[in-house]
Amino acid sequence: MLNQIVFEYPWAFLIIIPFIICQMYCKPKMDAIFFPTIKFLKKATKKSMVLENVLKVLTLLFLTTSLASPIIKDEISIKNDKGYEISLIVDASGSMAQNNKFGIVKEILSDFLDKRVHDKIGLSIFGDFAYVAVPLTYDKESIKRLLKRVQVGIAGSRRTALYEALFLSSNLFKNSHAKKKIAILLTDGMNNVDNIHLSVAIKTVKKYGIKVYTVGIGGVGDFDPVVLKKIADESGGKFFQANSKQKLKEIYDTIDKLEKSKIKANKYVKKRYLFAYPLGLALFLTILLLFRKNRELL
Amino acid sequence: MIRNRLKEILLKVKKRVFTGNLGNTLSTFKGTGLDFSEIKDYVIGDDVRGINWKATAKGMGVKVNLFNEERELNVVVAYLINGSINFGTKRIKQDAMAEVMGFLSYSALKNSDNLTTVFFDEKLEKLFKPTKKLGVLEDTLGFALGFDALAHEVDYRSFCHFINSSIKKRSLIFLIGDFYGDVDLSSISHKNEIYALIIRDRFEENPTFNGDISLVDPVTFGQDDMSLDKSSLKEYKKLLQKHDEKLYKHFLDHKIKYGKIYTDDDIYIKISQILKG
Repeated sequence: MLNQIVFEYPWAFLIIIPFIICQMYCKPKMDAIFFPTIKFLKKATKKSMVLENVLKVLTLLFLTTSLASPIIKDEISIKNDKGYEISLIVDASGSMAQNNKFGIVKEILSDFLDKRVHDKIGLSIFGDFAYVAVPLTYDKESIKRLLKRVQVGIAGSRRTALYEALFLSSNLFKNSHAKKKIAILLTDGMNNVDNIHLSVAIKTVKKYGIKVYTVGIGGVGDFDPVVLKKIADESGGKFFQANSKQKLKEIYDTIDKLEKSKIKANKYVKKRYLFAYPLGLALFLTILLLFRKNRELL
Repeated sequence: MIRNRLKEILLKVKKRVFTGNLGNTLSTFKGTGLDFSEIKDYVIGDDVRGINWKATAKGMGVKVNLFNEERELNVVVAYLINGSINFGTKRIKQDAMAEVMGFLSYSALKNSDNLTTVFFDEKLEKLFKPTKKLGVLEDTLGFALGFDALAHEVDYRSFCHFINSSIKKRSLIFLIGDFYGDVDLSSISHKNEIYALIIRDRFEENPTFNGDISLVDPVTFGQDDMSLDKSSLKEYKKLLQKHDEKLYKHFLDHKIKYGKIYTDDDIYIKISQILKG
């Protein structure tokens, strides 16, 4: 509860600095007279002076606090129909196990996830068959958690259902209202599952207006650059190829830059203003101070 | 201004002392003098000039008058200058102290005693050498009234040191001050006969301040803003009383006679009361 309280205008606390300076250098001018037994008087008034000063300081503190406007932020909601939606399609076929390719890909993907703060992201995995691991969501944490658990061969390790994956993940955007729809297809093999034809997959992609970036990893002959380029070109995306971790990272950075989301996510912050409480306390203390003063005038 | 005040005090002192009884400083030695002490039987060897014929005529044998011996006393009047004496409601304590000094000095001089006047704060400010001349009174009073006491503080230790080192003869010492400091007179009390005359103003013992007030210390010039109320004034009075009780205990322990004189008191009467015990 308490750690949710934040101050809207924390710089209001700077008022305390001139107060301290004023306490030291600009005391209220009063008529002063010589008095012989000040040491006894000082001793006698010590208690009430301390009390008065504490009251004064507390009053100021509460006033400053209420000026700084403490609030409880209750809820952050983001409007869903704006921003990007990105579908990550990752090859988890047997060949990805070579040279820890899959581990590197996971690492880079999770890095990429951190960068896309305001976007909805989905994750699809394919091997022998394709499946949607995480539908489009803002919840990056759960994607990351799932990404950690994904192993090579989780969707069968012998074949590569590339077109199926593209088709399936395209369907994720069926009910989407996002302005920009992106898919990033990463593979190190050639399609060898025939349940969905390339033209069907591309048609689906086009139907939903998805921009597909294709990334081929591995050496020459591992993947089919012609097909990947075709998919990219037809959907308005781009085709990349990488044979090192460094290169792959660069590719994702490039994609990140190309698709920089300019729209800031609309945040709804439900605020509860708490300034009334310190203000009330300050008022109470002021009255107390006045009452004390009044009592002194016999 | 000071000149007028000086004359006023001098006049007052002379008038009161002259009309009042002299010889507050009695010596206990019997001998020739004017101060009658008692009548005793004539013993061979007694001065025949002292025979009291009236008493003898009553028929109980020859009687002789006895007198207190006229003896020269060393009287030291010490005026203790503390910043706090620059305070008073009806008149400042410095003025009252000057008057006290005037009465004591004049009485001593009238008695033909040796009068030494000392002005002391942290150090010796002024010493008027032992004298029997009445003229010195004008100088001492002038000094007492004209001295700026602010920022001075009595150092009782060095005062005692000064008395011990420069007043060799056994003396009757009058201390005039307000005795707010750390008073320790033990080192001079065994040799001399000491009277401490505490001069106070009624307002400083019973201040009726209200609310916020800014007070300046007359010694350090430190300014303190405080807000006073009934309870803190009560506490203040208690603290002051405690200080005075400690002071009185110190005086009693060292056989120092003391008395308090307020600035609005009739000073002559007060002094007589204190000196008579």
